[in-house]
Amino acid sequence: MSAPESAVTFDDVTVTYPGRDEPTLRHADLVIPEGDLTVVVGRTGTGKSTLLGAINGLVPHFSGGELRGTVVVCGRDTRTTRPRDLADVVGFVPQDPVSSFVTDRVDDEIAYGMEQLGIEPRAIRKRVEETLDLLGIADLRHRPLTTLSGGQQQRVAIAAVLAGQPRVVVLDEPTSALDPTAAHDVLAAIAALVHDLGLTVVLAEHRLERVTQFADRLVWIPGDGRVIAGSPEDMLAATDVRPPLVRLADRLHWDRVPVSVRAARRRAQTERIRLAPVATGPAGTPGPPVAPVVSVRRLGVRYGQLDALRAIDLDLAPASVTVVMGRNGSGKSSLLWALAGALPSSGQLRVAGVDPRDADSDRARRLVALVPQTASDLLYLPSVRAECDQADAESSQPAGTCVARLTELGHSLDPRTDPRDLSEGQRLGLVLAVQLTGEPPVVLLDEPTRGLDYDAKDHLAAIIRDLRVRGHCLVISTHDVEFAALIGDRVVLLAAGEVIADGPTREIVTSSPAYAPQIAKVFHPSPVLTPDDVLPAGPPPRADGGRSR
Amino acid sequence: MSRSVTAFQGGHQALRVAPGRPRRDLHPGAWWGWAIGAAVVATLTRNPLLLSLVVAALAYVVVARRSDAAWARSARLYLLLAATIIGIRLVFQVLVGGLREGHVLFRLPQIDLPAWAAGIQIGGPVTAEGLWFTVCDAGRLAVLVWCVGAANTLANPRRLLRTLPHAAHRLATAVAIAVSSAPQLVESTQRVARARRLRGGHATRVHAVRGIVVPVLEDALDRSMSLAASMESRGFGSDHRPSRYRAEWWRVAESLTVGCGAAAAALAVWLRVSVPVVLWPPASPLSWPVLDPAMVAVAVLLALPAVIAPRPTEDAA
Repeated sequence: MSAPESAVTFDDVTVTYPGRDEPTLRHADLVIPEGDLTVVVGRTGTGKSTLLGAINGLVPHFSGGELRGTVVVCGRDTRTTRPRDLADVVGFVPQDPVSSFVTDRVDDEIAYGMEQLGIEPRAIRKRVEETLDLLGIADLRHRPLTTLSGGQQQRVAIAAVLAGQPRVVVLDEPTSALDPTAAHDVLAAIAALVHDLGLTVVLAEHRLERVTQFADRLVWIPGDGRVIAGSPEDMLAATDVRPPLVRLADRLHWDRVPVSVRAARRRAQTERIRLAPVATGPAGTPGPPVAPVVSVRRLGVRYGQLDALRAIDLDLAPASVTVVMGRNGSGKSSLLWALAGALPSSGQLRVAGVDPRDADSDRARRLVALVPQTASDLLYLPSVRAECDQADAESSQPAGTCVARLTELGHSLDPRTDPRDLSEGQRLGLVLAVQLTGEPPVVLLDEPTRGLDYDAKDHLAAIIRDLRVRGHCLVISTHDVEFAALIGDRVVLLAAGEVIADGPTREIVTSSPAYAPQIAKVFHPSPVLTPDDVLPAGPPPRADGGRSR
Repeated sequence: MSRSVTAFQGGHQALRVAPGRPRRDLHPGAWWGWAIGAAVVATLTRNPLLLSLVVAALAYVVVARRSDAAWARSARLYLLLAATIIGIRLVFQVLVGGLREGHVLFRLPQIDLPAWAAGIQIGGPVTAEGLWFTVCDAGRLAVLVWCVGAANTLANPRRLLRTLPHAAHRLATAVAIAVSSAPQLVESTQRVARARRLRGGHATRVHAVRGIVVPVLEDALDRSMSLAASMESRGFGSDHRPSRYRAEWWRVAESLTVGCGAAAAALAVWLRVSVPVVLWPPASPLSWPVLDPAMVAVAVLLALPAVIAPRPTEDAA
């Protein structure tokens, strides 16, 4: 055995999909060493999924398109080996675990791949148990898959792939649907497998801040078909993907980018870093009391035996951004749907003096707009223009209102485009424009950042700030703590359908270990939220940046 | 849950206890065998009392032994389908039915058809006998549908497919995809219908239907594609001969369950041959159906698996 063997080799690989002029990957060369954890980064639509799919042959065998050059995985050429015949060496965990489940029970799902490989039933039973233990889900053994939480489902999907004992595991955005705690658990489990079993892992991730600390190598796909690989330090400095630590390093003129919170903290401690005034002042200055636009008393939502929301009291001011956070299943979506009056709920609900549950859907639409988690559920017409015209009619607004809103949101879309061909960010913009056509004073966004890259998130943040300035009351549910820190005036934390914390973003988020953004962790216990809150080390050496004030 | 040992006998703790009955899923084939027995009973009779008894016996077993899995929640749909069958037959009987003799309840205007359509009568007197006969006759088909529904509710369709021979493996897996997409379709229809309301009520009927159908079908297509990709990348269809993780056991409970169905069917056959009028009452004159003790025995036999079969394994939540 030659020393550092390569698990995956791309040799001059060019992938072109039918109907596209430009190849998605162009003359890509890449070597993924055995036993490494490699993170693939790049903006949406640059070819991350293509690169991942090419590793187990789904590209081009399943996806279509043309692949030139060679991809060799554990000595097998994907040109001549179909994905099914690579299943014993490469495990593939797709982005949405639910749609990849073939069976309906946890142990059956874990056994499925081994059954296909023809492994002897006794060995299967033993390995099912071992894999359950490996991922800490032994108590879920007999549970129906549909009853599991998002984090549990993701672990089962990973277990189902690991049980076949592949040498390479490929994961496409394994944490995109998970709350911060569950995401950290899943990534830590993956990192442990790399350490303990010598597994080779290739994973794509949008929220880079979650994975850089685990990564041995970063592979950057800039979007022009190139594939560039290197150490996390070098690559973070070079990429256009900018997690908070990179922004911090920029802000403080650091020569090297710290790859973990710990590295950043050590560096920050050696320098006298000043805090910008906002971070040192009293957290959140309460303005003059304004009449709330949303007022909720003892709001409850119940699904059968399950209390999704219990006796929620909330007052929301106009021109404010409230972020709702909490674990998967804590009641965030239920709260938003109940505020929109689109879900049966008990208790008192007033939006601009009206109960949206009593209003007809036209009236409700002009009171409160909701952009659901699966925004595309609202779109059904064949073109952007048709959707906009329909929105004008639905909101009894003059023709062109929706298009004007779309332009205000900074999206100049070809009106003939089919909404299905839009990027995630553009589609979200269209749905937002459609929902804003009725000029509702209250706007609710359910998990809007899912699938958005850093640029699209910045764009969304700008839109949200703009809506706030115009006096809209915004409520946003999200798992993305960095995004929450960026836009939120106020954070409401939910657990098991109850409000467990409610206050100014800085106060709530910096005091919670799970919901603290990276920068807050670096400067803990100072209430620092974003890189903008700190200033580069300056001449006056005031002790501790004046934090005592 | 294991049974805790708490009984004391003369100061000594009873250390030898009867083994607790473990939860396990009955072989899906056993449920189907039992349901076929019930279906045989249904085809042999037009007696509304026996038909009702069969429905009740099956419902009892379904309630007692179904699991919490998604496919086990479909019983209500089958009952609805069964009721619809009876309803449609009644409408046809009123409008174009051939049974017009007996006690007239009301009259519909009669339309005379040209000679080439002789034998078809539209409208005319609607009689109690005609309606009663229709209910009993359509009831047989409705009970057959309910038998299929009960079996489908009790037996996990994917496990039934696993028991098929290797040669049918690919077919079985194709059916498994179809089976798994059905509850997903229901779920995404509910989700999209809920979202539709957010866009206001100005939509015309065509828009409303389109607004639901288009996103649901897109969703279904996406899901099927990713399921297919997942199966491909997990080795489905490779040259390996697939093995089975969970063997399907056929034990005493299975035999007894099928036996109950078979015994009920046999009893019904005997009744049909020995006293035909009980199972096949004449349509006219109108009379209250006979309740024979053997009919009760048939129902009891069909209901027994509620006790014989072990409790299903789903320990959800």
